[in-house]
Amino acid sequence: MQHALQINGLTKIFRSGGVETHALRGIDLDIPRGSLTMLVGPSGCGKTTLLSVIAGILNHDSGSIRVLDEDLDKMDEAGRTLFRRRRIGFVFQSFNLIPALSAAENVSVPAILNGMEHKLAIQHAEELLERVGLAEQRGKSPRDMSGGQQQRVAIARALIHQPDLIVCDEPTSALDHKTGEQVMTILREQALRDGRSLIIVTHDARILHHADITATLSDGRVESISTGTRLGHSPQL
Amino acid sequence: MNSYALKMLFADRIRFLGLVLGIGFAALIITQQMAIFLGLLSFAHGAVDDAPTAKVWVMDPAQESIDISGVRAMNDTALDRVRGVQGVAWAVEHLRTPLECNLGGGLRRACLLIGIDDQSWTGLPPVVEGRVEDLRQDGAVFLDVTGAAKFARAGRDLKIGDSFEINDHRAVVAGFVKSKKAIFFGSYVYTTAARAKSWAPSVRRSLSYILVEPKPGADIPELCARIEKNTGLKAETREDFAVECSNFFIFNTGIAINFGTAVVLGFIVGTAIAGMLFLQFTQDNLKYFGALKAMGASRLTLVKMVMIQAATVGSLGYGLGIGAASIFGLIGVKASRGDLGFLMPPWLLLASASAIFLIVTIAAALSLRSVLKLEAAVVFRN
Ligand SMILES: Nc1ncnc2c1ncn2[C@@H]1O[C@H](COP(=O)(O)OP(=O)(O)OP(=O)(O)O)[C@@H](O)[C@H]1O
Ligand SMILES: [Mg+2]
Repeated sequence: MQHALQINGLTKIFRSGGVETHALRGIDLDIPRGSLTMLVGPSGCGKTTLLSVIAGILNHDSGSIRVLDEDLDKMDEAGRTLFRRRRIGFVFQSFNLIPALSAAENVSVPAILNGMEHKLAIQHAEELLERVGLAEQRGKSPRDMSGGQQQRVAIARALIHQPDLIVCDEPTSALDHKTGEQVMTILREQALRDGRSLIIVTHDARILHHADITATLSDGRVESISTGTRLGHSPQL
Repeated sequence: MNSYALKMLFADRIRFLGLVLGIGFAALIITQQMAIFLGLLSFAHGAVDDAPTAKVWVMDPAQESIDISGVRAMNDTALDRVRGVQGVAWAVEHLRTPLECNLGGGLRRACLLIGIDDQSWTGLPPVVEGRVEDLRQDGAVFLDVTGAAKFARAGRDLKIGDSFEINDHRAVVAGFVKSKKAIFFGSYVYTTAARAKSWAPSVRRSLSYILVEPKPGADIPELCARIEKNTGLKAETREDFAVECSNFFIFNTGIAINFGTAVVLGFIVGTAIAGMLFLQFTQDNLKYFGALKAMGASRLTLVKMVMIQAATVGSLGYGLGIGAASIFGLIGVKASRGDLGFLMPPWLLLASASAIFLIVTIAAALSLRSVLKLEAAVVFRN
C-alpha cells in the first residue's frame, strides 16, 4: 500500500531563551493515500508543529518520518525545498495571497515555481478558478474579495501543480460557518481527486464530518485515531 | 516570478515613489556636487585651455599653476635657450602680468595683461569681434568678453575704438575674444608680447611662459624632459600642466573637502532612505516571501525577486537624479552666463551609477538577510 504518512516516534523540541518546549513527544501515525485526515486537539498540543514537519518546512529532532513514501531525513534543505515545490500544496488560515497580484496570478505561482511558462500557468490558473467557482473573479485582487473567495483562490493555488499531498492549517477558522462549509466541500471535491491526500489541522468541530480519519493529539502525542467520522460521529475536542 | 516581484513593488505606490525619489535625490546630490566640483577644477586650467595649439608649456621651476599661484618669470634669455633644444620646431613668448586698468573717471579695475606672439597668435582665444591683425596697431588690445562685461557693470562699457589706461599707457580696444572661464577675479586684456613688455613695470625678468611647438613626429614627453635637462626650466605637456593646475587648486584650497562632504552626505542620506524604505517594504511583504518559501521557492528565486525590485528602484532613481542634475546644470550654466562650473563627463555618470549601485546593494542585502533568514514555518503561525 502506498502511504501518505508513516511517522514513528517523532519528537520536536523548541528552544528559545533557555526555555524548552516539547511540542511533539513521540508521534506515531500511519495514513494511507487518498484520504482526508483531520488533526484535532486542544490548543498548544502540537498540531501546527506536526503539520509543519510533515510539510517539510520544519525539522524534527528524533524519530522517523516518511511523507509520500519519501524519507524526509534523507533530504537536505534544497531537497526539501524541491519536495515541497513538486509534491505539496499549501492552504493557510490567513490565505497568504499576494494582494499585488490578481487571483489568477496568485494561483499561477506554484506552477511558475515549477518551471511552467507564464502564459500557460495563467491559463491553468483560470481553469482552476473556474473549478472553484471563481471564473469571474480571475482579474480581481484578493484585497477586493471576501474571505471565502480568498480561501477558494488559495485552494486553487494549492492544486495547480497537482501535488500529491495538500496540507491545510485551520482553513475555515477565519470564515463563518456557511462559507467554511462551502470551502470544505470544494476542498473535498477538487482536492481529493486522483488519489491525492489531504491533511487538515482544525479547531472547527463543524467541519469534522468531512474527515476520513481523525487523529486527536494531546500534549505532543497522538491520543486516538478514529476513522469514518465523515459518516456522522464527531470525537470529543 | 520576476514580473510578480515588480508588481509587488509597484503595488505599494507611496513607498515605491519614496524609494525612487530618495535614490533620485542621492543621485542628484552626488552627481550635481561632483559636476560643480569638476567645473570649478576646469576653471583652474581655463587659461591653459585658451592656448590649445601650445603643446608644451615651459616655465620657471617654481611655477605651480597658472595665474592663481602668481607668476614667477624667467630670465629673457630662456627663450633662445629653449629654441636651441633639439626637437623644438618653434617657441614663442607668453606673458601674463597682473596690472590695474584705469577706465577713466576714477574707475580702476584689476586686469591680467596677456602678451602673445604677434606672428603665430598662439594663446589668443577665439576672436568674437574685430580682426586679429588689428592687434598690431598702436596701443591695440583685445578684451575678453566676460572681462568687458565686468567693466560694463562697473560703469565703463568699452566698444571697439574706445581707449583706457593700463599702467599709464593708452590702450585702444581693437576687438573682443572669448576666453575660457578661469579662476581669476580680474579681466583679461590681450596684446602683443612686445607691447605687454613695454607696458609692464620694468623688472629684471618678464618672461612668464614659453609655448613650444615640437617638430613633427617628436615624442612630446621626451622633448619636455630634454628641455628641462638642457635649460634647467620646467617643461610640461599641455595636459600635464592642466592637471597640475587642478591639483594646485585642490590642494591649496578647502574646496575638495567641501564638495567631498556634500557627496558623502548625499551617499549616506541616500543609503539611509533607500535602506530604510526598502527594508520596510520587504518587512511588509515578509509574510508573502514566507509563503513563497513554504511553497518551494528556492533561495535563488527569492534573491532574484529582491534584486529585481532593488535594481528597478535603483535605475529609476538614478535616471531621475541624473536627469535632474542635467537640467540643473543646463539652467544654471545658462542663467549664470558660464559662471557656474558644471561638467558631467561620462566617467562621472559611471561613478554616480556605481554609488547608487552600492546604495541599492546595501539596501537589498539588508532586506535579503531577513528574507533568507526567515523560517518557512512562520507561514502557519497566525
Ligand atoms: N517557534 C516556536 N518556538 C517556541 N515554541 C513554539 C514554537 N512554535 C510552537 N511552539 C510551542 O509548541 C507547542 C505546540 O505549538 P503548536 O503551534 O504546534 O500548537 P497547536 O496545536 O497548533 O495550537 P493551536 O491550536 O493554538 O494552533 C506550544 O506550546 C507552542 O507554544
Ligand atoms: Mg496551530
